[in-house]
Amino acid sequence: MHALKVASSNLTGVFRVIDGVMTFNSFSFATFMLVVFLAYWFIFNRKGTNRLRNIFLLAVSYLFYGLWDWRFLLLIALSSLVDYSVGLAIERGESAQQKRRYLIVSLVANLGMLAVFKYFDFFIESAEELVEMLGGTPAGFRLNWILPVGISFYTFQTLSYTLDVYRGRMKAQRDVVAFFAFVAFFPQLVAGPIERARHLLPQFKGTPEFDNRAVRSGLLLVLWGVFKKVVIADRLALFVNAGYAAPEALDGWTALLVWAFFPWQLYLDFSAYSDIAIGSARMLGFKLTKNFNLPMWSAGIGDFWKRWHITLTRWFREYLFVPVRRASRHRAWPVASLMVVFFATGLWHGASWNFVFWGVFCGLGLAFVDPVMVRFGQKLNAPVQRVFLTGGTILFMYSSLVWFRAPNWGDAMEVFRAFGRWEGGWSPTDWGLTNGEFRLAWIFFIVAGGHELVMEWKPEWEASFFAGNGLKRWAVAWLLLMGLILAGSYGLNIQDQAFIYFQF
Amino acid sequence: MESHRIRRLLAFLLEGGFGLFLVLAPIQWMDRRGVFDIEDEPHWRARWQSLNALKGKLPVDVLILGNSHAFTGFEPAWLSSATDMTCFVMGNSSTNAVDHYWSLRQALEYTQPQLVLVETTGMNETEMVSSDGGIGLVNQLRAFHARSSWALKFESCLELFEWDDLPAAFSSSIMNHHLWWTDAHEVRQNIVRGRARTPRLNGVYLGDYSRFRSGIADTTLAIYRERGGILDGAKGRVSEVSQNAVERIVQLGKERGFQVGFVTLPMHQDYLFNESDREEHLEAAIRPLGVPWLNLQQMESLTSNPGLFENTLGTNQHMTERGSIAANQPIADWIGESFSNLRRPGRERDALWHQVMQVKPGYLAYHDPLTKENPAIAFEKRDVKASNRVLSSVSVFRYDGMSDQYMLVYARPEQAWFTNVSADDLVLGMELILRAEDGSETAKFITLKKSDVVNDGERWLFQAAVSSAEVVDIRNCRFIHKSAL
Repeated sequence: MHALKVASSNLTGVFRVIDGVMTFNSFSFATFMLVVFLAYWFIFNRKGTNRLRNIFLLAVSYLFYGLWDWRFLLLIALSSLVDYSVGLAIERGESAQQKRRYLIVSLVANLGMLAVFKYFDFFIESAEELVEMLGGTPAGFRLNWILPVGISFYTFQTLSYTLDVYRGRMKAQRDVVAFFAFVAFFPQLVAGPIERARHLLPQFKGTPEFDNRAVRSGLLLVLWGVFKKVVIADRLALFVNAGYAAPEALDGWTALLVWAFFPWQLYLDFSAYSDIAIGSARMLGFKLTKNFNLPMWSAGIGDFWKRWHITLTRWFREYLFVPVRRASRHRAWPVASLMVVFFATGLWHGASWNFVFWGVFCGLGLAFVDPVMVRFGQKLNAPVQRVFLTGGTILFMYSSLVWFRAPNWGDAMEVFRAFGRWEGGWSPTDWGLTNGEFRLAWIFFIVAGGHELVMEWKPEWEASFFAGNGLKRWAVAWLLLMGLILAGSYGLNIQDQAFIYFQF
Repeated sequence: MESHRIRRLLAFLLEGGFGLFLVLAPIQWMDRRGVFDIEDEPHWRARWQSLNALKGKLPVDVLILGNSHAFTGFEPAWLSSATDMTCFVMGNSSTNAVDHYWSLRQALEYTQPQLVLVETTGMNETEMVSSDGGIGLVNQLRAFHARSSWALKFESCLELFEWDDLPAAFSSSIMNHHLWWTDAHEVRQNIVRGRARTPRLNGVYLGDYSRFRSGIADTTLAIYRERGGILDGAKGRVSEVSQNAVERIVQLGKERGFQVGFVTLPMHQDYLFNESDREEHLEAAIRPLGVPWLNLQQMESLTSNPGLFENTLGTNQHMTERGSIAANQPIADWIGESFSNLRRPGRERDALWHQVMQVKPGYLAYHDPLTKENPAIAFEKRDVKASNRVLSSVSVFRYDGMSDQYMLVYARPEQAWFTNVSADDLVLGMELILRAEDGSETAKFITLKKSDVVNDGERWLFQAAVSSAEVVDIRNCRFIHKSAL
């Protein structure tokens, strides 16, 4: 692999210049996707060439991942190998006890990898803080290892495979190439959607037909995703980043904007990634699971979690909440199970007490605030009820996300304290944005919010809009591309914004 | 079935290609009309425009390649006058030797120089300037945009830019798209104009740009000394790509029949530390090429003079205008010694060259004014008596710079006159008779000092800068001992 890296760095041309980060919102990815698309449909995806197709998908997925850091290919290969072997072993296992042992191997391998790379230093640091509080002297040992991109996503995906095989919900995969390609499938490798094995793995069998309509809609989804990311989310990010960089300087208005903009930035950023992933996969004949369902106008905290990061929520529900819930029938267990799930959700997002607190806060909200809101809402007539529930959800979820975004507890509290400071004038230039930039941020913020609102009220609107001839689709695609090129928050002297969920 | 699949695929690609055309066509249209042009630094395009204007009229004899050090540190007009050749600076800010190579390739489509000088600041550790982002990338893109040949652009783009920067490299609209929310007024103006901007050239432009007028302040000098220097010469390694680029420049010289030399412009000796390390790196890179190298960092008379260098604590120190004039003479001497077989227009042999150069600063430091009318000369008096000698001429030159205007008074006494007294101990005093707007005349006494940086071997240069005014006569010209002032 080292030789491969050296060779690639010595090559002139494309490979040398795209060596490094290749995010979905880059020209490198557009080029990569075009080459993959052409090679896939013209050469590798033909009737009777299923194995060749999977080898190709595995190769380009490993190339895609390896361009970040080739060393982490070893990790993903190891994870794939362990779960492939464990799946077969579980299926062949003669007793339930033996099957359970094999499952434990998979759990230890995957969660162990996650624990070492993602949480080791955090746990040690936390333990040392405790030792220090008790008067001891911490050793100061740290691994300081880089967090492999996407590790939280692909470990959960492969775990879903061994868990499903263990539960007898699916048969073990015998085709090693198909399995490795399933784990490393590049459109959703780095930030999901976290696919259930029984949904995605079967799609590596056979060779899909070239479906012009699916490819077109996939391309449009990709364009929409890149537009959301580059034009809207990254523009909001300029303001949000400036605000969170100096929370002590925030006044009431700025804090309000920062408080309101970040959830949208996060949503548009992450849903953009999911759209690009789903769209890219669709262009290659794969169907990925929807990851967001208009969460920003949810009617209740519970409703929000049914619409937000759907694949992760479903993973936790299926593989953590339900088993824990089944473990006891005590009356307190639903709440306890919920808290376990949300503690894990917080921790999954990052090795920091902020995330843990955010998770627990959301869990408490779901367990105690949401039922009260719903009960009170039932007393109101329908339109008012909807406004009340949506307003309550916005208030709760937006506030919770302050802990999600702030680098530490103190900064999060500083943002809340800023709501008490309303004196003085205000200008976006104080926060690093030109007036024109700020106006654009608002315009696109309203466009995004409006689009979501229309989709919430009239879900059939989009389908009916695009029905009939393809002219509207062409017009939308053209507008998206031109908007992306001429209004994108990218380029010289603008710090490129990585997708937020890459860090998880 | 298979052919049906291929047909569907091709139909899709055709559709995609058409879609791409619908996007690229308006972008290209905007590029051509300069909708997103920025007019803050016209020198990028002006050099190419000027080189094109000189094509077939005045051959460029010495082409100087480099970055901002070159276009601030070389005085092409002075150097032209000192060498009797046409010198042109093709410098692009923040670029490295790779850009120099591609600039040369482009320049060779306009001119066939006899000598190419490479200023060595661009031979640094940078692998790819654009990968650092920020201003380096902006400048590299501007340099790329300014070049005209699409074939060369395609050939060089992967060497100069990362893949993700290619759209901005090929489209100024993509590069400057932010203008419509940061400076919508400029976009409106560009739209109204309806065509890409073309820089206005004031006479013949030889590529120099941006002059630092004041030297290093005492407080800055004290900081240099306190810190032991600002720029570490030990870090001045020459990257593989830079090495490769200068090798290609030398090779190109062999193929296209021009000579190549390297010039290291100096920095102040207290600003640059571990200078010997930098010299070693450059030596290792240049010596194997077997071409002459002038390292002005070794000239203590230059490097010890704070007035010759930019007042900066940044990681880049340019020469001041005075510094570049001071460096001019040793560079001219070195060209004469190291490239003696160059063909020169000569002082009297190329009337066109003299006609073009006489309006440039520095011309009168090396030549008497032409008998024909010189539009840059505000006043001239021939055969001026000064003490017991007769000066062939005293000229008042009108300097019309990009940012300021003033007059330079030149006199060139013969060196042979000064046998009993050193010319350094004398000044040339004279009265300028100035006419005011109301017609009244006043006398203004000025003293011309001997230049310590200009020496053509026959005459000294005495000069002074004065405010612009109408000069009607020169009287009472005499050499005065400095002690008498």
